[in-house]
Amino acid sequence: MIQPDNEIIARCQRGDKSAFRTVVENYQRMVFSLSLKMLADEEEAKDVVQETFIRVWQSIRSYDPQKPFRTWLYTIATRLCLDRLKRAKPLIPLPDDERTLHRFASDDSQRQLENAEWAAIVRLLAEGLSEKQRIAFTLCQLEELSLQEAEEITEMDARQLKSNLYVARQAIRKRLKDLGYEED
Amino acid sequence: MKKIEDILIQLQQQPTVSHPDELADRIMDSLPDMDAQPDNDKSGRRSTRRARLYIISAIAVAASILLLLMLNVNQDIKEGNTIASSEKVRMPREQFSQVTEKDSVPDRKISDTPVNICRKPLVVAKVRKKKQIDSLDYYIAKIERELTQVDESLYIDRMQKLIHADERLQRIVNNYLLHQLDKDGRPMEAINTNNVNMTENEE
Repeated sequence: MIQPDNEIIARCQRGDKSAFRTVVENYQRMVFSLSLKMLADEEEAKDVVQETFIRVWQSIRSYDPQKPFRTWLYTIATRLCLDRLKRAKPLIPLPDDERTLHRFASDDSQRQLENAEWAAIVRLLAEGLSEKQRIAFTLCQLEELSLQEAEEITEMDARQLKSNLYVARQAIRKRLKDLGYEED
Repeated sequence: MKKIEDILIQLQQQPTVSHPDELADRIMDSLPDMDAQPDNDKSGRRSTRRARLYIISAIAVAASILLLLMLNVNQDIKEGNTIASSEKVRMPREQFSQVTEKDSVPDRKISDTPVNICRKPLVVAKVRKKKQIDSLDYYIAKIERELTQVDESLYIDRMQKLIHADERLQRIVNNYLLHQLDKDGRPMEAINTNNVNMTENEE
């Protein structure tokens, strides 16, 4: 995602809502992606998107345009997701989730997953992972952020982040292996 | 069938928002007024902080009062215990001090407490003994004074008269002499010698 134009940020800081709408339209999918992969619930994910942009609007005046906007946005969204995860019940896969994954794995076409499918796959793979392991896996593996950016967002040091990512990867690989999927 | 690595790579795609415009509208409608919101927030935060401070200070005051009360109660209990226990130990000392006080201040009234009632006979005995010692000294001094005024020729005569005058004193002196002789295991000659010496002195 491209850094928003400084002019747009400056207008947002002056309270221009139309400029802020541009920011929302450009970044809402990114925030939604993170939230859905973290929370495995479409409606919860939309709530997090809404809350994230309200927070951004409230504190846009204190935002330094020299710093990456994406990192700032991810930081706010990640914290809101973690807050919800702490309050939420632990993820328990549904009986149909395995079938959803099987359908996805069997389909050779590069079709987009539906949001319900996303939720099913996350429930199945993320079961038993800690909050830190989930956030590390989502940011570094699924959202493809750099370790440095993930460190800044999660406030974990490199060692912590790497170990959480490693454990999460191993656990998910093992789960997929147990479900009958082959390694390379 | 995809392999594990392929699955993980394909999961890197971004899910799509089902109705992006709706979500954007929802977000834009819920945005608070930028100018008003922070002030309201600040005042709200201030009032909550004040409320919290009041609650915390009230709890602190209540806790300190409770603590003080508990400390006082504990101190009372401890003091009670120590007084009770120390009374047992201090009793003889107090008796002794009472006796000395009594000696120094003879006219002082004895209090009606049970402790003082117990002390009473001791005090009386002490006082009596003291008076007896005083009176014996007094009489000895008186005799000595009288004897100094008597001529040498009449001295022994006067002594004999005094000894004979008091039979009890005579008995005491005799008993004392006999006890001394028995204890030392001396022969009767010694008594005689003493007697001789005495008579010599008398003469």
